[in-house]
Amino acid sequence: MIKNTFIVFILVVAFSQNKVWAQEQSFGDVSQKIMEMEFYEKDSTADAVVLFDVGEVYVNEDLEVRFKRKVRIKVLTDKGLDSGDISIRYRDEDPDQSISGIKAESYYLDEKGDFRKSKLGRRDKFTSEVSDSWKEIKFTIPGLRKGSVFDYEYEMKSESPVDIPNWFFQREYPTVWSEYRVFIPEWFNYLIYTRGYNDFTLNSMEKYNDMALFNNGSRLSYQGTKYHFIMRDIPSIQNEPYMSAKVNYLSQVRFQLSSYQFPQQRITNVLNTWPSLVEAINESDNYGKKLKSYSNIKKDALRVSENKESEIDKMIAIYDYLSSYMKWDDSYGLYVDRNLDRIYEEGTGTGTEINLILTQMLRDIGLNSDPVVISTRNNGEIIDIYPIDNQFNHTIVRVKINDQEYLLDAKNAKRPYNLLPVSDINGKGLVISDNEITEWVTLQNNQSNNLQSLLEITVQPDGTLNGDMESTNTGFFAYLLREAFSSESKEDTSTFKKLIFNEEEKVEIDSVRIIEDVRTGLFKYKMGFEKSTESTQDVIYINPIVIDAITENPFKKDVRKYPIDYEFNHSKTTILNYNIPDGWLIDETPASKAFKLEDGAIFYRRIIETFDDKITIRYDFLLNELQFEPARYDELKALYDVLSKANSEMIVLKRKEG
Amino acid sequence: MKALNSLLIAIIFFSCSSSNQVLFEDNSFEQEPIASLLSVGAHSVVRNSETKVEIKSESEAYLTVKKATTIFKKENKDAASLVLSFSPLREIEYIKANLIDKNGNIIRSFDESDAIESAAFDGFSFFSDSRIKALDFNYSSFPYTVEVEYRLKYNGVLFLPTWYPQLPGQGVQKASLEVQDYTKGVRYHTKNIEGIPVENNVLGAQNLKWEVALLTAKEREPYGPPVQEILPSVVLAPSRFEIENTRGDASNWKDFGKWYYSLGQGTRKLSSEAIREVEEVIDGISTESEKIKALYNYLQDKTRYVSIQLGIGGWKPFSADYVFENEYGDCKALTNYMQAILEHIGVKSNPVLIRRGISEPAIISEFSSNQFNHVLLRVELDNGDILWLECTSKYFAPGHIGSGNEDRDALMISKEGGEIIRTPMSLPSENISSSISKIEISESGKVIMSTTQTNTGVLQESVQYRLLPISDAAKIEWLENSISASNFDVMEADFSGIRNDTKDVSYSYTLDFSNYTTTSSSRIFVPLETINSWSFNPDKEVKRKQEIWLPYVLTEKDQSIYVLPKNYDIEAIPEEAFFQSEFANYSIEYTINEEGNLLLKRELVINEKRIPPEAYNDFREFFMNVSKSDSKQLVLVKKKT
Repeated sequence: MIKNTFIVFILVVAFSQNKVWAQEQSFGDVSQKIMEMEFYEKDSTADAVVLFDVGEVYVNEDLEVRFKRKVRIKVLTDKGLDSGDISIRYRDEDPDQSISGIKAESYYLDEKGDFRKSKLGRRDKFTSEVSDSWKEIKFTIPGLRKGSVFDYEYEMKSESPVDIPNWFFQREYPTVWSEYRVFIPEWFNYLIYTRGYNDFTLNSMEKYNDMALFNNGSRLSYQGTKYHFIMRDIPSIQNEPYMSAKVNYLSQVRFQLSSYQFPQQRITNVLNTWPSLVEAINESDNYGKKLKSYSNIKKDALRVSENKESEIDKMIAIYDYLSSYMKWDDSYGLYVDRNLDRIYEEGTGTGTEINLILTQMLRDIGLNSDPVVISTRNNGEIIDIYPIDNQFNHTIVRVKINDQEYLLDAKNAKRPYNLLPVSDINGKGLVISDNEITEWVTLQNNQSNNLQSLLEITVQPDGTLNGDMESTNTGFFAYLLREAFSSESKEDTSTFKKLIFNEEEKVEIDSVRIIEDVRTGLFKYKMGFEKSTESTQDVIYINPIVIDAITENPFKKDVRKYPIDYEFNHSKTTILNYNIPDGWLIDETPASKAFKLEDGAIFYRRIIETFDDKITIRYDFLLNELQFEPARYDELKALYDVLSKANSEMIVLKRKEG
Repeated sequence: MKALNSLLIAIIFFSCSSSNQVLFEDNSFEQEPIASLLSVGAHSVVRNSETKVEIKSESEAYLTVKKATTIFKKENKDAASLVLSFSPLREIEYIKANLIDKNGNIIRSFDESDAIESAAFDGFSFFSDSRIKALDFNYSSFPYTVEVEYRLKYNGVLFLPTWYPQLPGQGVQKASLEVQDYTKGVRYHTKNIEGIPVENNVLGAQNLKWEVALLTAKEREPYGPPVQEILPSVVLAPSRFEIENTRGDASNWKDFGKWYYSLGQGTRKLSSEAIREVEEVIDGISTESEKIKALYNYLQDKTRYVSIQLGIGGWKPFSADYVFENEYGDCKALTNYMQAILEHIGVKSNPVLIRRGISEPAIISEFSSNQFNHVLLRVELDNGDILWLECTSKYFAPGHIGSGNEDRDALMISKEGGEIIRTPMSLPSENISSSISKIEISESGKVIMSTTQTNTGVLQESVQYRLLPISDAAKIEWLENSISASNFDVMEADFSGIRNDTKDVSYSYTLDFSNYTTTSSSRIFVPLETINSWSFNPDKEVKRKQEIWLPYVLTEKDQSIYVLPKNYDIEAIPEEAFFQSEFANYSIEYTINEEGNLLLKRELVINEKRIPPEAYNDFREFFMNVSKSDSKQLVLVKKKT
């Protein structure tokens, strides 16, 4: 442990840096204006507003981190009362953290305008274990009502200098003032990482001088650095359509200890470099060391691949076998406790466990395969400057066959080997191998995702549509349909209706048949259906885009602050042939239409051709980009407006007169 | 409250051993279980289960469960999982388990140290001292069998376990429940179990034994009753019991009620400060009922519901003083506080223990025991009128009992003890959702729509809970998000009619749409939807066995007037429709008035909330017809010039 080496050298007595709470006010010192405030001007929808949230950290010469936090919140609505349910989590083991000095008070003005105050009672705090290594202290602010203001503060002490808490300036409530001050003596070096979509009011660094006292009475003067961050008027963050993990967007600052050096001592590196991190993971008893030959795994690897000729076929055979044999327990995590043979025998595992078994099986038959550690989409993007294992939460497999590389993730049964799940497509992954160079692989799918449907529809004189559909799907579309088809029972077709049709309540499915299902490629099916339309004796009204049409604009807000993220590129083509019954005329059809974003990132087109007894509609939608900057929001919103409107345009048929 | 927890625990919880010794001496798990159990779609089969409840005294009981479950597919492996909840009132003594392969060999053994511990999350408590230990069993070769054995110690016999021999979808080869009762006071109630228990008296104990065999799997059907109504069960309850230094008698409702009454004794003293506030609230109010209403509104403004469940805290209310000081509490604390306030002004009120929840099974009224999860306050006015106060709600009007509390048996508590009473049921005519709209369609197909929506009875609740807690600006955001068109502006919105002290809630708005209708070169297509329009597409069910449970009865009324552009004619208009059934009636009519505008009148009345199984297809057809009828359109065509 770091701590022991240093304790010999120094024992702390005091730390004299004068740290005054600068911006924030003391308990109960609330202005009349704030007490009477009824809504927050900058966001009138807010249920509560954080008036200030101030944290201060210093690392002392005893290698401890002390973190003090002071928060004041104004409750604006009843829903905002939830902001008074406070939970403070802390670590219970290696390194230990402890919480002390919890104080909380709330204030409101009664009907007469008198200032009323309630204090958190000593017995009204509850501690519970969250997991083996985490605990939590909970309390609820007393005397809280709509209009109240409350203060709370606490102190966290950690035994380790690696423990400078991450600071998030942004949260579910808007924040007027968020401030973080970090005091670091010259002996420590930290890597500092900031991100977010809001500007700093202050982002400064200044030197200070201070004196450390020792228990033998001696003193040591030293220099330190004060980091000071302030943000003002930070909006709340809410989920919006097509938005990836919130953690990628939250305004935040992180400190990571990289090394330390005490007087007359050598520098000690704490943080890995990327190569040393790869080595550490590769050598870890809970990761790399798990990769070895196990008899039960090897036996099955050989058996499953024995009749396959090429290495690719062997790889696919093992992938197919393992992905359907193992059940994913729906959890992620980087490290593995149990041995792979036991997990294999149990048949259930985490994503990493399943893919380490896959790596081992492929190695057992002589293929060049290595695990690749990644961060899933919900876990946030990889921060390049931090070579730290806790950024990763999942493992996939990289296989090299004749200079060709394959990325495999065997956690889902029906997904083919050449398709990584959307959750994996998140930047890059780090290859864990014995190689001396650090290898990153880009996480992407090379398969295209196409959906092509051909519908032959006969319009009956009573307005009923009899349709035959043939649909050919690749990539994610094939995978989604394969899953839907396998979960659907024979008698009940309601899932299909919801998945495939618009206006599902007007549709009856007569027959469904899979024509071709190549696990690594296309999924083709036929479906016969009947759809009712609104019609009268002499007029038939048809909403022609019967399948897979976007009829509602997902973007409702006027402005967008964060990027728009799609899950996968795709192209969709639908061709509909409407056969008109004898004795009927085409009275009206919508016009052909096309719309594309300036750079062609999204393209939409609908072509309509009419013949005497037939109408042909071709509908294309193409998505070429996964991420759009917020500046392009208006363009996207306009596109969906055109699209949703076009998709509800009608065909009208009329009975011939006479 | 914990009452419900103990019920569910028995459904979910199983268990397990570490001694590499089989738990059942006669284990023939290598044999396939009896085919008839599997043929009806059981996802797992209980091969044998032996449950023993030993009641040593009024303050001490033990539950020992030994059970072997065979799993056939990896999708159903959770049916053998063991999840045990524990607390200071229910301690785990040991857990043992074996995983046995299809040849009868023990693959692995487990004990308590293999279980994963976590906080019990009941979904509503801010803090609870209940925790959970869970053991998961994984094996890749099917079928396999999991044998579990565990023993729990109950500190106090009030919360005796309920025996459920099977999970939903599970078959049972054989299962037994044995009760050994040294207090000789245990009572039982059985559901979906045939026959009576074997009884005897040996060694100073009263012994009871149930055995069941060859149970086929049972599943909850869509819109059906909760599983507790369908599965076989034996509910056990004590007569005399002792728990956390209190003593009570549950052998009859009267005495059980006395015990609950005693828990609240001495907790209702108001401080002088609290009294002063009460006096201020009623100052100048003369009638009793107005005073109560004012005080209920005072409670709603002052306090909020926070559930903290510690030990018998699940039953004993926090004092009125505590609630006054901290301004929060759970249902018992808030009800007790309100009772204290009413006591102070000389109004008599009674707490009523209830099992709350629209989809909760009814209590067994003839079986006095701890079956409740909630409490509310019943006030009898001088003139004999009854006023129900749901003290956890910030928004109900005084006297509104709430959809989760209505129409069920409950236990009224008084000094004299407990008494079963029935809470009132609301009528379709009391629960109304009504909309009045004017839709003005311009020549270009643009629409200005003004709507006033009014809800009464239980249909107010969701509006209140959604809109009262948020700011006015957030209400407009809610309105924007609840409308499925994107191109519209909110011209006006008025939410001032949503309150917590009136018999109805109402709000109105005016929207300017650019894409409400679909247009073509010569036509305008107008969807004839209303706020209450249905879109319901339930599956066909050939052999329906269970009743349909709807949450409540109701009436929907919609009136829309479509002001049509002058140079268009109506080309197509839907036909009027009437559907009638035993449980509901529907009508929709379209008329053209003198100005040439279209008037839509729609009414749906659901007058039964329990529909017999044989009417399932009628039920499905009825609402599919309603859905179809609710999604019609009006077609306008340009006048020929």
